[in-house]
Amino acid sequence: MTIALEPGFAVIRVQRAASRVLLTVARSLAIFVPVFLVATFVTFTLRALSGLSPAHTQLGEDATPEAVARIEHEWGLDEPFLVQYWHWLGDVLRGDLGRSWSNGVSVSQLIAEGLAISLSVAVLAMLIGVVFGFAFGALAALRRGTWIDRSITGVLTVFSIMPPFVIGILLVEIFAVGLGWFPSGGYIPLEVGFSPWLGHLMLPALALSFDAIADVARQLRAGLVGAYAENYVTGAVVRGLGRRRIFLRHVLPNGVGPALAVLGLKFPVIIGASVVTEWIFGLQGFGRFANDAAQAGDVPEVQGVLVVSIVLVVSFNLIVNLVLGKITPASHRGV
Amino acid sequence: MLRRILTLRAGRLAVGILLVVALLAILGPWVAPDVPTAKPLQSLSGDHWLGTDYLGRDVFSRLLEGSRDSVLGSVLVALVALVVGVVPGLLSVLLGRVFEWTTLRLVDTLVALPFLVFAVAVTALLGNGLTQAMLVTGVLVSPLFYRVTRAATLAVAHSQYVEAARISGASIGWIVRRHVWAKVLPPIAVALAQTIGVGFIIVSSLTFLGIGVQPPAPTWGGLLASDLNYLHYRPFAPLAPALLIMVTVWASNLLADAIRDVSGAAGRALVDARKVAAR
Amino acid sequence: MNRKSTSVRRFTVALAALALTVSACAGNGSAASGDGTSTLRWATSYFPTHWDPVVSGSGAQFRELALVYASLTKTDENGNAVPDLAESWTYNDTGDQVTFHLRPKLTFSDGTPVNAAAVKAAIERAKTQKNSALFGDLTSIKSVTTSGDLDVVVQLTQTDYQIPLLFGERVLQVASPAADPTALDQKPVGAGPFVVTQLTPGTKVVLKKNPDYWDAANIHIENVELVSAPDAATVVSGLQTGVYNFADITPNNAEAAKAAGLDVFVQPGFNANNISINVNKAPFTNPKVVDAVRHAINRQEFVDKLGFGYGEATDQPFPKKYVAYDPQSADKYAYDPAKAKELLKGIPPIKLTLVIPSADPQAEIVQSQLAAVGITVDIKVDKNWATPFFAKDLTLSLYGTTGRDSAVQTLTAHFGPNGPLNLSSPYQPAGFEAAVAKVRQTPLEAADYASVLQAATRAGLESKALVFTYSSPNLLAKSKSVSALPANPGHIDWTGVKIG
Repeated sequence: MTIALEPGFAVIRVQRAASRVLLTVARSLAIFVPVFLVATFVTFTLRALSGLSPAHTQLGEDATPEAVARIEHEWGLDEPFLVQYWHWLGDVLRGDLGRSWSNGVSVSQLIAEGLAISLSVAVLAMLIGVVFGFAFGALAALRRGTWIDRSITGVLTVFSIMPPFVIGILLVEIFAVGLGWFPSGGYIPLEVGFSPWLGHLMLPALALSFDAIADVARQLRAGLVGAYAENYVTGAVVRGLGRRRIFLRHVLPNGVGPALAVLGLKFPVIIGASVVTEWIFGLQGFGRFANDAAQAGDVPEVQGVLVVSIVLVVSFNLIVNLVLGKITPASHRGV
Repeated sequence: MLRRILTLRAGRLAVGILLVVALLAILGPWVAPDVPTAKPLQSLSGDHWLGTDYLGRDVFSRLLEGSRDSVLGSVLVALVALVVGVVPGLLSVLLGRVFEWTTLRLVDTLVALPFLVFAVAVTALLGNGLTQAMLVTGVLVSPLFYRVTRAATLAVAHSQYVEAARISGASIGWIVRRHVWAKVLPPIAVALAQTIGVGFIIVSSLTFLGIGVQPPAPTWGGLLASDLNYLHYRPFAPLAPALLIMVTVWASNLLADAIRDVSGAAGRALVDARKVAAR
Repeated sequence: MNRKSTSVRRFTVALAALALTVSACAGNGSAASGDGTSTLRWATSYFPTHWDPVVSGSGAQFRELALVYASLTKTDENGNAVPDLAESWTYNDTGDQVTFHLRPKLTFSDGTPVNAAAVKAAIERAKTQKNSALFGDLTSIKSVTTSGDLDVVVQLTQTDYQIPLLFGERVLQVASPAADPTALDQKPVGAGPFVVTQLTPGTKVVLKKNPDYWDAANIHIENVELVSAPDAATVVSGLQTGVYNFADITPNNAEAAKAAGLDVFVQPGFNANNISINVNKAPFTNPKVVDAVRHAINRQEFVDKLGFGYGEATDQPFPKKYVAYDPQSADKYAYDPAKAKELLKGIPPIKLTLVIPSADPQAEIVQSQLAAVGITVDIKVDKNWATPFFAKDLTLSLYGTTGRDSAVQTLTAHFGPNGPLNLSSPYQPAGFEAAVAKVRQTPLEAADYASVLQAATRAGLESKALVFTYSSPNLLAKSKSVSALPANPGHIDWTGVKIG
């Protein structure tokens, strides 16, 4: 591996890398388009099935049949189904998710406001998941078979079988009410100050991270233990290389793949669980919005939520695939 | 296979717990002591082993009564996922490319959906039944079964003995029955066990949000959610349903691991797909 | 071995340090959110969907809108109409015309003057706007004219002395006529004690004190943050940790709030829960079945199980001390399951579906009480409940009212032929219409007002469409730093309230 590279070789390599990125993007798009069409069509059909109408959210106590018909006409709901879908889809492609049935506000705007909060929480949760997941996983692998390994595995098992709302309530009771370290809910924008912002995000992020910590740590432990059993590691030990060197050079790169892959899958889980967490912590984010929209039967809002979550998850997976493509060869990803 | 699972300590534990849970589900409503309603929100006593709830009903009886709907619910989730996932997974390998491409895209769709968001949205729109919640959840976890089945079938389909059978003119049905089933069943069993666990967690989260609750029919998740409203009076009340849910989920996961451990290399390689189950 | 444990130890230390840093830099989070001396942080479970008072209507969320909008009148501690934007009012001799005299030199927060033309526009908008939730309350209003800059003259279709009560905060919060009504939901403009600076639909509103409010001298709160409340189980934790300093709570959380060192108090009001019956549908077409239900209901059980010490049994939509409460009608249909069973004799077994909007212990109590007399009830939770309820398509349901400032409005809403809370429309009890007309014709200060009003209540309570069960009051919790609120029934009035 000490041969000097010819200049042309480097160019080819760059080209190859670029075309690999393009290929990944193209493949993701090829998946995204049909996914998008199917999912939006399904959600659109749901309105027809649900029998919900903006008339009742608006009229409440005064919903006479004539008034209902008038309002449904205003919203274009008396047009044929496919025509409605076509209009809506056209608007969505222009970034317009329609207007909320309950207050007439642009759904895109409503979601954008909530998304800032939810993404802050989700990113922080991922960060906690990575740090603690890797820490626990590595620690358990390094001390495999000891009581440390066993207790970590035990704790992780408990983490992974707890329903998300139980975790949320427990965190509130312990860290907010009991110890008074964090506020029990609410949100302070970053402009007000970094530390109150982080303080308000901490508990919800922690609640969301439990599942990620458990899965990342388990996968990492398994990957590392597997790597330690490989011949080249035994060889390195025989050659008398330092433990740290063996861990960093030989074990970690070969054992980390599944943990990274599982991380990629954790993002939709976190976005999903935010529905519960934001309800407990009084965060006015995307998850709370999704729940409120569904409970109020505000169909344009629900459709907006679904479109945005699909876009979010697909773009996140794209990033993960690009990153994973760089770090580990496909064979180690377990996909 | 069951015998081999029972040789593992974890396997014995898992099967034992799940048997007890299954017995609860079948017999629970009948063996539940018929205690008349009393003063609400009592703590533990001889008359009321786990106290009384907000209307003065015996919590122990409610838990027993609720076991049927809770267990049936999770089993329904797993069965829906099984049917929706396994059949296309199998056929995606055996039928032509068009079917393969279509089902793969459909599965990608389902995988891209943040689980709880979608479950909340659809259940709320389709009316507020626990059955709707189960069906939706089942469809959403079905990619796990699709992928597991497809991977196992692919591995078998490209093996020499299947090639040989094909060349000798055997029908697809015969090949599936003869060769594919045996290889596909263990990973499906793993997936099934995991899905039951996932079903419990999802359904209890939905009931916590007030979705799918049809009083007075109790479920463990619903009891847990309503106990949280009376923490001041019965601070440890949520513990019983929470433990029931967690132990059942744990046993399902243990069973999944045990099946994988006894089903050899083929099973082990496929279980990476379990990651999907986390959704 | 030694080396390995060193690295492990270093690793653990680093981890612990990280955790500490994170918690340390976040630890002062709750302190930092308590920024000022006079910020009201209010978590409400009635967060308004609409900020246009005409669309929002007279429901519980009018209290939140009252932060922004003033009305012609408001109510005092006895529920009487007292001046708000109007300084005074005068009826003509026949009682079919009332003139409101506005305070001079007031402006809306957008600078538009609060004058007679603005009030006229507000009343006409409430009557005519397509999506108005108020027009049903304004049947007595024939036309509105102005006289000079500050006098609003309201012509009535009938003699009606209830108008000053009607034009309070539930029905006539006045928005600026310069504002586009469709924009009010996102940008409310009123002449109330506070001005909206930021509004996130459905979740959060930030307001600051309105220096131009007519009674600004008595408003001591500088800022308000109104947010939609989280899960009821965590509202108390939020109050306890300073995320909020004011919130409505459910009775089951009252003890917890007290134990957490919060002030728990009851804001007087006109709340009442009822069972809604549709006499146009079987089996309630048979009056015996209605009577059986009336006698099957044990109100005390609702109070004992759901009140947590704050409820009160009631068979009327008014609290006992209120002028409209009719003592003669008390206990007319006492709890008597034996009699209920007797009434049902010979009637084939009854199976009913009780449709409600969300899971509610009340429904379970109704179910068990009716089961005790032999009526089988299935509970159905339907998110889309409002549709069939207001279309009067249900047979059996539950409702809880927050009442109205005008007792007549409460009566017609429940018992009138088109009352939104009358599940049996167009049915109304005999004599009710005449009794209500008589109340309208009686001046509020007349000596026989109370007896005439109570007679109308009595006539209304003949209705087979409603069985009242119990009232759960407006229960609020606040941090001790917030001073006591004026005890105006049904209202949350911030006049004179101090924080800090």
